[in-house]
Amino acid sequence: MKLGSNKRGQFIVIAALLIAIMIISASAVMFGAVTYFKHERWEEYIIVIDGVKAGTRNVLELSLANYTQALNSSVLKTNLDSWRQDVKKAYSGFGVIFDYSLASGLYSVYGMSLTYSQGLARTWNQQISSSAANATARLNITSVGLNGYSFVSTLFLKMNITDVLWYRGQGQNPGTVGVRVVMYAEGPVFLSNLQKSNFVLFQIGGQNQTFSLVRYYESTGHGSNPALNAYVYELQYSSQNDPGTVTATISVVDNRGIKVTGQATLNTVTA
Amino acid sequence: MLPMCFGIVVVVIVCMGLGRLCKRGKRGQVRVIEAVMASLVVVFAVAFIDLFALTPVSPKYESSDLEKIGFNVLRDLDEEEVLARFVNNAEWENMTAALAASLPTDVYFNLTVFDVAGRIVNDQAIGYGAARVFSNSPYVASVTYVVPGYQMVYRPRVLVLQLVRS
Repeated sequence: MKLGSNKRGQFIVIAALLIAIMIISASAVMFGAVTYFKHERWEEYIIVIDGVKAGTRNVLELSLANYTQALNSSVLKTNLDSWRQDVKKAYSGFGVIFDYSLASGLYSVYGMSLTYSQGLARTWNQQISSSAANATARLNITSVGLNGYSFVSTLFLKMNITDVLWYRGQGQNPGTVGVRVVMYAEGPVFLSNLQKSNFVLFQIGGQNQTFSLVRYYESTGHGSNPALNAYVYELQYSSQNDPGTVTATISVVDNRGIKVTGQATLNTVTA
Repeated sequence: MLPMCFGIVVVVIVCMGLGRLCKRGKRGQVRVIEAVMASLVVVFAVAFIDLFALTPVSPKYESSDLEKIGFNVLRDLDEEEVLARFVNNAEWENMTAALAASLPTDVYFNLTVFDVAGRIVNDQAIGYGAARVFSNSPYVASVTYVVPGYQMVYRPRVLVLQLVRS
């Protein structure tokens, strides 16, 4: 074969064939690698993990609701023990193993110092009051070899009784007292979806008081008080005179069922 | 596979022709033909590989896509704080309406609610689409979602949502 003389050009074809073989070989390896991961049920595993996380948060919610309304301090531990067993049954076939630990002792939560016991904490009857729950969960999925996936689930409800406004009446009409409250959920973010029915207790000087609820975002300030720059709930009631000083007790149950009770003695500010 | 076989046949035939042309001293034409052949070989190789590409319309994508849609819909209803209420109060008609409104119009669904012992809780069907749609479809996506309880009470329910695209 005289490759060096009049058949030298065929070398290009041979080179092209070699390149084609290389492309196909490389692609075969890549195809194998890609399909290996495709055959794993990644989406299902992610859905299981997200489902367990959402469920754990729901367990914390209903446990904190129970604790703040029925004052059952061991409810979170009891419910998470049940949840550990039920997760295994609900996702049978995946080999889901759920475990948890509850917060205990002093924690700083969104600028507040809270003392947890069995994962639950409440600081009530203060001007700034709160209810909170905290648990760290660990998740193993044995079918896929996932070990030690850990996440923290935290719930938080804070009430701040900011100030009391006095609106003078026109002529002989009585004036209005407005007790202003700012509510926060975890984040912290303003809680802006509360209705009058969520304010389950409103007492002035220890006596139940009928009220009307006004909701607005406050960004202007009143008198010498600076702007709150917050979403405000104002609980208004009628009064003949400026009371000067008001002792208000307010209980809120949010839409998750979590309760917080605050109390403050504040001087009125003329609006 | 067909383009690759066709390409090999073409290369063999042209190689045979090239030998004859070289003998006649037409080297210029040979170079051009060789270059064309080389290009064809590479093009056929790429076309061959393309046969194995997994496209987004593949049923494998379709099934996992439906699972994601189903899970997101259930989680959204849960975050809106209506899912636990529907399950606890046996508001199956509201559940059906909420799922029908949240899922794409071309997706059929069937939801079954179990307790943790595996007993069916919903006493009426929660779904959209005839039963044969699910039995005839080769790809039925299934999503499991657990609702631990409602308000202060721990009472877990396991929701199994089956989805088929029409």
